[in-house]
Amino acid sequence: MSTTPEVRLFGIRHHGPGCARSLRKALDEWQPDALLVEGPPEADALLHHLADAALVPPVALLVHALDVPQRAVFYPFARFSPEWQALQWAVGRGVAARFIDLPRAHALALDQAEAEVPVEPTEPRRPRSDPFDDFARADGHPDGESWWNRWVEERGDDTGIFAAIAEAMTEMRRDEPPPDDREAQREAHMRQCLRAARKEGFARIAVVCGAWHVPALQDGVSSVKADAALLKGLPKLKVQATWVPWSHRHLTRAGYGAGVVSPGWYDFLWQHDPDQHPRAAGWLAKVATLLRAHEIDCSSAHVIEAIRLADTLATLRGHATPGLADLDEAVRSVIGQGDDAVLGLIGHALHVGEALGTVPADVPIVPLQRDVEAQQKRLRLKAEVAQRVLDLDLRQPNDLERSRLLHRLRLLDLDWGVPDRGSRGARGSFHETWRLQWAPEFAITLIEASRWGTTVEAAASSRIADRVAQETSLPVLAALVDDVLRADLSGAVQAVTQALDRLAAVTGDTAQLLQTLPPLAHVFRYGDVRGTDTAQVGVVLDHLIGRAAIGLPLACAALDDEAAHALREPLLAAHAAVARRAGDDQTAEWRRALAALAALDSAAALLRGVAMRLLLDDGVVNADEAGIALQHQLSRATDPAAAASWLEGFLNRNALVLLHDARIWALIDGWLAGLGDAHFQQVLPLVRRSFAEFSRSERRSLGERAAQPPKVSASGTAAEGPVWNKARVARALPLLHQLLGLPREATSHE
Amino acid sequence: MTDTTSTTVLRRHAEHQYAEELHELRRTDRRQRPDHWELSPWAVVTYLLGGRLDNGFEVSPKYIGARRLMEIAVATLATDRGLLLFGVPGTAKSWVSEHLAAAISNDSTLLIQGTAGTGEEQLRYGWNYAELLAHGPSEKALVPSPLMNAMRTGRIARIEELTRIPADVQDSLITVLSEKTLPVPELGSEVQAVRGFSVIATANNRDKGVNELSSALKRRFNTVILPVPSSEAEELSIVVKRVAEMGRALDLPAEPPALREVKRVVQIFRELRNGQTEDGKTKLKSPSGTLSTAEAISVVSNGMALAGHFGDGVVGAHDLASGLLGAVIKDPVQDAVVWKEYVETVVKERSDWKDLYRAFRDHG
Repeated sequence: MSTTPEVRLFGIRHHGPGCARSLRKALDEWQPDALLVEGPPEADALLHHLADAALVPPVALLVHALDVPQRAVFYPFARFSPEWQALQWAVGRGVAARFIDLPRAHALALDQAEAEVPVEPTEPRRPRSDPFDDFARADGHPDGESWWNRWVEERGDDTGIFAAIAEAMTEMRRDEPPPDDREAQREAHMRQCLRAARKEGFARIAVVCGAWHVPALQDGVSSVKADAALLKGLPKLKVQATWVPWSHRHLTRAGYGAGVVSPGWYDFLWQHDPDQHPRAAGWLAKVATLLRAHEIDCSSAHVIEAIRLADTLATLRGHATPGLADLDEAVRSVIGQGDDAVLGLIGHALHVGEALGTVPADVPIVPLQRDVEAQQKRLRLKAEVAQRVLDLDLRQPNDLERSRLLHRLRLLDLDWGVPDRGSRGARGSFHETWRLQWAPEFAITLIEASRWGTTVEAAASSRIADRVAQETSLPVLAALVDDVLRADLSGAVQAVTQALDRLAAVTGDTAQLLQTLPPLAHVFRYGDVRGTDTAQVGVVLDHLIGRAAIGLPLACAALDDEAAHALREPLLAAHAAVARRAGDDQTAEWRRALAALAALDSAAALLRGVAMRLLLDDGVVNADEAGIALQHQLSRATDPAAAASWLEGFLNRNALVLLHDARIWALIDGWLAGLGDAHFQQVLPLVRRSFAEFSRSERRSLGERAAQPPKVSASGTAAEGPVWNKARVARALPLLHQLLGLPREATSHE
Repeated sequence: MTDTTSTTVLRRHAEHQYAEELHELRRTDRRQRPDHWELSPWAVVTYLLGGRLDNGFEVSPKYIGARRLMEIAVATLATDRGLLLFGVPGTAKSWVSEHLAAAISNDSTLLIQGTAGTGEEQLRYGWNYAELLAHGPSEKALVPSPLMNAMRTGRIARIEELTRIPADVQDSLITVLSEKTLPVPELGSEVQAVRGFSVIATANNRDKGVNELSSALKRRFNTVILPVPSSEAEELSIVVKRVAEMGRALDLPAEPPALREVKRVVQIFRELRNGQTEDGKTKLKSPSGTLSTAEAISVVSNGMALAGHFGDGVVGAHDLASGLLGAVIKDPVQDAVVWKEYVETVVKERSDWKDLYRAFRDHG
């Protein structure tokens, strides 16, 4: 039969549930025998997977250049995407289905030619100055999004909508400048495909494309010749297409041109059957379930009142049924006591949803996997199931790259290599030891990780960016800086350090701040070994030191014993970190904070003691001043327990100050001797505890020293040298003389 | 008695002050009105937010802020739910409540002021004791509360500072709000609310702790939180306008300060309140106080008084510094840290704020 085939154009919005519903109905009514969809023709071969029950949306068609995997494009589909529904319909009925967009082989090649343009997940579907907004404003809506939602997506099924859309788009494009080259080429290719389908003898051809393109596909817009000329001589790349799992989160606007604001809402609209119950009821029931899962009270009465408010709001705003904005406001006002907190808690699960798609096992592999394989080959690192130990010398370029790859994979949760215990923290060393063991399920990890990017580097970077956005613990972030530097992700270093800076600004937890200093100082001091730029880390480190210094005295106040002990290590580590930073301003600032702490009576005695000791060691206070402080702290008016704590902090597990400063020795000795029996018993365990932390030899020296009768050294100068057993010394002297070649006469030694 | 036309009244009720606007709105309002409403919900929203009527009459805006908040408030009252306006001090809660009542019922006087001493009889009804002793309980001896009057006539009752009312007294509202009836057991009768009745309550969400609403009562209100001004320009215009008005009222000798000084005060308030600098580059800690627009106004007028009485009559950094410190540092320990960080990391870095920095250092 060679009657003229009938063609119908269905202009849709990608991921529009109202469009999907209407389209499905239109297809059922009209029963076309061919379906042309705006999409990459390279994926035609993958359409048979649609019949596979293991292909569950949200999924994406991934088309990427074979040699340059980062040149890639995702075409996501949710179950409420009109294209998905149309393709399902066609494949289920054996109706011919094919994609008609400009082949990605050309588009990617053109992208590459334009170069330096960042890879966009998919082309912007609408022109820059949004004519939808103008249309919306004429109709009294704030923007094109809400206008389209209201008139198309939030309506029921209505096959007449497509004629209306076509008319609106024709009107809209009349005043637009002619499409740019790429768009012209795409539309030319779509027209050519349509012509080919007509020639093949289909009787009823349905074309599903973005609403914007409808006017360009109508009859008589352009000639065969003109279209052929547009498509002539386009560059070409070798490409491959596959299905990958996708998620609702990735459907949102972030990082995806044709993204939708609320996939959760669209999914609900798609599922929702208005004949069964009103829309507000269905949605708010979902809200109530989520709230109860978070143990927030939400009774049926709440739901009923929220429905009434949403309906009234919709009426007040001139709509027949409540939209997402009305419903959100009703939830906030009725259930959330006017506060955003409730929506903040369930907002993500409600508006976006956690849905994650799956793909059958027999789809082609993802580019991330290809990238890993290529790197394994290049770096001569074989994926083996048996465990082996790998010793890397980071001065060798090849080993350094291996280390980077392993660290990056770890950031993607792929623990192919695990750093051997002991190698961590040894940044100064050029060696790194890994235990390598490949597992088959890593393939799945890679496919899952492919949502983050198409190369290991890109994927690890965006994974870090995502983690950083969610991380609220300062020490974890600080450790992440280290991981990121080891993985050599310079872009991500910035993201992490900035997040660290932001978080530090609002944290009130000085203990956490103190804990971030050591890893950062470490990176700052030793990061250069890997040739990474640590200037940025330095800036953030300085900020953190400043904030820690301001907060330090207050953080040490009003602590009980346990808390004070818990803070001692972070304080000591932070002090070491400041020393490692070796900046004059920072050190001065830090020392001022220590001095303030040492003088702050309300601060924990232990920590005041530590601060005084650190100041003494740094030479900020001299032995005289320290002696005065010691006397002050150990004076009779002080509670002996507090005095013992102070002493413990001051001695700081190190007996040298006791051994070498007779004055301090005398003070402590005098204090202990002057205690009454009751006090002495109270203090004894505490003092014993501080002395127990000295090394054995130090304790023995102290014991020997204590056995000597007290020497009155009013001058307070350092004690005399060790006590010699003269007889024994004399026996060694002849040999010493011989060894040193000294004359015999010099025996008269003291 | 009340003479509403008299100009000696210090402050007139909204429905009198804006009588002309309300009249014009009623005249042009063609849309459906709920029972006993003087205006349709659409016209009420227009009254609050201002706009031009079909006949060209200009309605002045009463509330400067988000349209959706007023829409929620009006929609709530249209569904005969109680409306609870929450907000920090100085966010126009009572103002909005008064104008809503004026627009809907043409009467904003059915008002109960909530205090720690508010008793049940002020909320429900009291007795004329002379009448009660002479003739026993009767309709005649009953002294109705504004709430009861509102129920009888289908108007809006207003309750100010709901959270200051003792919890047991608050609870007598529950039946009124859910059953829309007020029983009078002494007479064996009840007052049933007429359509159009509703309650607007205001509460300060800073002192939730005073007498927090029971969840049973909370559930019967739809809540709208009135926020602090959303943009610097909005806040600046409010402060400049109010400072000029106050300067006149108090006969302050100083000239109202240059826009630059007011702008800096507003900026400091906004930055500390929002926990970040206006350019969004630096995060900051927020102090414990509210830092409301009303406080910004008082800092500036305080500065004016200082400059006028003790200075050269021109408001400068030093005149503002002490007021600012007092407004920001409410907690002498925590807030002092916040302030010190702000001064050292933000104020110090701004080259054109050197005078402020010095002033803060002198006062700190």
